Amino acid sequence: MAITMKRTTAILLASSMLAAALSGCGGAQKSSDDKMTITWLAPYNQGASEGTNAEKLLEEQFNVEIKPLFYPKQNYNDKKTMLLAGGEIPDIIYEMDPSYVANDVSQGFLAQVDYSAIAEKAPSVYENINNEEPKAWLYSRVDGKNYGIPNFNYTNQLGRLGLWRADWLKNVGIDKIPETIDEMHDALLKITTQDPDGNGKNDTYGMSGDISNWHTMFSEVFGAYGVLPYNWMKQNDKVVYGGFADGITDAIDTLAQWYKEGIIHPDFTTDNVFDSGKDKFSGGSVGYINQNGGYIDPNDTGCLAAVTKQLHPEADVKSSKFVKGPNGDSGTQCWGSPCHIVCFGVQVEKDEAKLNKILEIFETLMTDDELLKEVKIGKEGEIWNYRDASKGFAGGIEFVSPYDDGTQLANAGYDPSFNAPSFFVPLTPSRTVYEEFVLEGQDEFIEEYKQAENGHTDLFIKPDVLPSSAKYFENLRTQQINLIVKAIKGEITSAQYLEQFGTIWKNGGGTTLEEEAAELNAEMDTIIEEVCTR
Amino acid sequence: MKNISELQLKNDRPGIFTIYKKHWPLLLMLLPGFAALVLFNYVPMFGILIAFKDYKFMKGIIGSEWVGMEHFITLFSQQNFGHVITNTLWISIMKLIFGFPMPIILALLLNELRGQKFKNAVQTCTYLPHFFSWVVLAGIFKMVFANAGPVNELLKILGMDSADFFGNGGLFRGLVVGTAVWQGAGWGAIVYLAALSGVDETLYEAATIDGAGRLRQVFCISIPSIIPTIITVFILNLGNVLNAGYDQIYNMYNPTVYEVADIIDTYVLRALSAMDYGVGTAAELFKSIIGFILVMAANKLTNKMSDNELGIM
Amino acid sequence: MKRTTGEKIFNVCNIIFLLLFAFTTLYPFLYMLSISLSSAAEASSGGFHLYPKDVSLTAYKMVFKNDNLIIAYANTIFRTVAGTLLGLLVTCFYGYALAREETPHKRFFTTVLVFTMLFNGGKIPTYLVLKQYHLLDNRWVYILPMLISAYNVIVSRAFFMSIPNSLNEAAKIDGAGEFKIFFKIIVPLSKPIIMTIALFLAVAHWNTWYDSLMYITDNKKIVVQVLLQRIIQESDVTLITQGMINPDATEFTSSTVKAATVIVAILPILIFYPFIQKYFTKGMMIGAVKG
Repeated sequence: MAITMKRTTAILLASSMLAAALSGCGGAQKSSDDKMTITWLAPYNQGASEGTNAEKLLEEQFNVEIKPLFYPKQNYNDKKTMLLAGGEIPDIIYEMDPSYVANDVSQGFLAQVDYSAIAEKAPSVYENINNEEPKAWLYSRVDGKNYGIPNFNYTNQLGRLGLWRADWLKNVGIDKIPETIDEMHDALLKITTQDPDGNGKNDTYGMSGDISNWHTMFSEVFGAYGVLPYNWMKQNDKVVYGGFADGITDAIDTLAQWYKEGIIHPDFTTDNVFDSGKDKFSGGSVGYINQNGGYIDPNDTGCLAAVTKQLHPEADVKSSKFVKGPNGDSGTQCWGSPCHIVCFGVQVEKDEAKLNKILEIFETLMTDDELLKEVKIGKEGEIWNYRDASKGFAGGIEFVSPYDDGTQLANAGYDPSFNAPSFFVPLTPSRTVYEEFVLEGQDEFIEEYKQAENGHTDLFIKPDVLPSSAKYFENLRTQQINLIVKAIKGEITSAQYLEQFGTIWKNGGGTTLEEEAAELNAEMDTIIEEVCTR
Repeated sequence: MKNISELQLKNDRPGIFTIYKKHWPLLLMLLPGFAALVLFNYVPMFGILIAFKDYKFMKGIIGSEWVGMEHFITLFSQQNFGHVITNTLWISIMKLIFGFPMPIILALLLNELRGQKFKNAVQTCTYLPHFFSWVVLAGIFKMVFANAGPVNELLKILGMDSADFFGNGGLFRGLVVGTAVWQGAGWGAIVYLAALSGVDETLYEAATIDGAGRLRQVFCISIPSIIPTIITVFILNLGNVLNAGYDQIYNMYNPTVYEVADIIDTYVLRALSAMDYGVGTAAELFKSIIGFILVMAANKLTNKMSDNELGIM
Repeated sequence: MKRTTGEKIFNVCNIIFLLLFAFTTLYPFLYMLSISLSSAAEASSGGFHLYPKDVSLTAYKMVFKNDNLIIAYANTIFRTVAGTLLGLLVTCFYGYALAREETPHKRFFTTVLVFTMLFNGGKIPTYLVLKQYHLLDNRWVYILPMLISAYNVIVSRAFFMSIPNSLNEAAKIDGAGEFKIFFKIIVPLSKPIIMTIALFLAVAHWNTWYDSLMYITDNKKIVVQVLLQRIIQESDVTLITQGMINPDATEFTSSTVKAATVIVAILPILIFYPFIQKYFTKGMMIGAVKG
């Protein structure tokens, strides 16, 4: 047996040596003709292949050779890491999260890009970021240096929406959609106890929740007390973590009382706002839902209000603003418009011509609307038509067959989302272009119910911007949610929550995070000044 | 004289090449499998070094700096790590205790069915859950075991208190073990059914003539004839004792039960960054070593008890 | 055959228990089938969903209109058939050789095998090695790394060991070589285990998608599961258009389409099992050859 093991070990060692010898290499790619080749990696249009119209258009206009790598969104970071680890570093590397940027910088994969280079070669891109949200630069900043261009998604900035069964409210004698937390309590309690659907059974609840998607978890109730429980906030000019902010105990006490009264559905710990949570509303078990941010168009047949009406013809679903708390606070957590980062492979750092070329492409896409539209959705009449030519894009467009199928459209290299990034337009177009595409009627709806001031964003946009977040934060948040749920269920008091979470926070790296948050906050003004005064 | 003794020695213990020459067809049969093992399993194992290195992709695995046991120290010094090990062991041992016999019982019960068509239909149904991913299954369980779901309705009818399966730690563990056993039973039974089909039918006939009842036949013929398979499968399962089922827990878990449901894999992924390759590799290596020790020990014990008949190596 | 009362009671209980168990295991399949055939509104009404209330084929139309579905299915079938046949040969050769007393270095070959069950190099080293072998974007990446698995070899070996050695010796006296013995005597006697291993291999090949997602970029070479995941992500172009939903949010794909992809992905392989069940019938081994 011992001999066998020795032999096994020998085989293992020998093969390791072989592998080590093999894996030492890995080289840069070179193009065969004099045209500059740009390797381009992003998690969009995963079914497309090289040679789409959008690609040809860019290649012709800028006299370059584009080598696109259409990667799947699913497991993108894993697949990207493998590609990089194998020594193939693309020139454009799309990053989904600031923590991935930090990691790839520490591995030496990404090129440092000075603010001045971007300001000079792509002034419109630069200006767009500074006008939209200069804090976005935090996404591409690692150890005081800049490693890419932050990106936007305008719909992420819109808050969520409250939906009420107005017919139920009427059945229990309430005519007006609740506007304050007390009115909301009254309405939910009556929905719970007074059999609003008139089926003679005590089977309705006020609302459910979603603790897996922490950002949606009773966020309008916390919002009414002015707290974002899982984000960094500024209170009285000091940086605080929402889990300890003023108002957190009041919010928890309110929720605990509601739970005790039976307003909150006992499945709130397992419901998911994307499936079972949503189904509870459309199925008629709850009378109110804090709907996730996606839908802007209430008339769309797939949206929650429409589905509810299909299942319950008598239903009257009303959108609502979120209720005001005792101090007049209201709203929910929202992600803010910054999303993702467009980075450059480390070889670009030494290849100024290539960096300038890429920046030129980005700049042109930002300024030349005709080119942008053709790259995004192709030619009118060939790929798409206006629904009503007199209204332009606001009237909506229709794709010509076979492009009316999402997969076919994506495989052809197109992407109709003007609010968000896409493969050949990795930097989201400016807000003006996006607004041109907002459907008629949608803008009024957004104006009324989804104003930006209704959504509260983390002080640093995303809590994972802090350097030690990857190490500590998710673990702390899990334990925090656990305690908040216990408090809502009445197993502990809100004071015990503060005390127990305080201990966990101190032992679990929270103090480090606090120091980093204070530091970053102080640094933020310098960064913004640095980028905005150029 | 000397020559003769040398000759005798040669005859008693033939040289290695003589053996190779005689049994080359058997060695040839081993060759493709062995080559595949070396190329696709052993060559990538240089990656285990990452557990002892500060892995920088640009430098390669060999070129990265050694950090000794640092990643293991990070892993073991994590707050709650002892707790996580306890959870992992609890869940996987329970899965072994209930999940290991269940396929055997199912195979024996199916074997007792007389109608072939009925037997085939039941068998086909029981192995269906193997084909559903845990994302799909977890979605269904969340509906069936919800507080207002069918199982709780049934409990209510039976006059029992409703049970919060996804919120109560003890019930959640039970649910994890129970659903895993349920999911794996039909699939696991296949190997035993194959073994049972190898049992000589004349043995049953002879037993019937001798007047042995069905139960006696099960215990005296069916079970003994699948004992080698049972032991083999058991030893192989032991290697997985620190894999409590990442995919299942990840999909069924929610923050209210993390205290009882956090296992090594969910913890490593959540508490340590998913991109910390060193610690991740260290955790994998730790699990592998424990599994290896258990398999070796079980194998040795089996060999000792069965006169080298039943061990796997 | 005469049956005692106890046996009758046992039979009834056994049938009832197995029926109940079979119902619970059948339920997820019925649930997904029913959701996939429902209208979007019906699917989100909550409840048990044993059968669709109003049958709608919209979700299946959505899935089947994809041009690449046929080629993705072809890839999956290729890997399943080729992978199973080659894997079966390699596994049974290895298992049989380990079952034979005379095989030199048996301990060594067993240890080498069992070791791989417990230790692996990790995701990135595996990728680097496959890259060196030029297996990225190559259909053989589906087949070669899965040729042999310790579990299958050891299970098959246990069966081969139960075949009496006397059969070998008799054949050898007749002048048959090892390969002839294997194919002419051993294989016909081992049909149940060979079919079991074939089932294990086929199901593993059919269900594995991670290798396709990670090692394949060429769309002509992906397997059907990966394609179906794409359909889920890109299903609703009208919503993505003009910013009605965030294109990153796959959660908006209707649950009917998701359910249809599950059914489309697993149905073909489910048919395989009843086909091999006939090899599990009792008394496959004829008494006479048991020696």
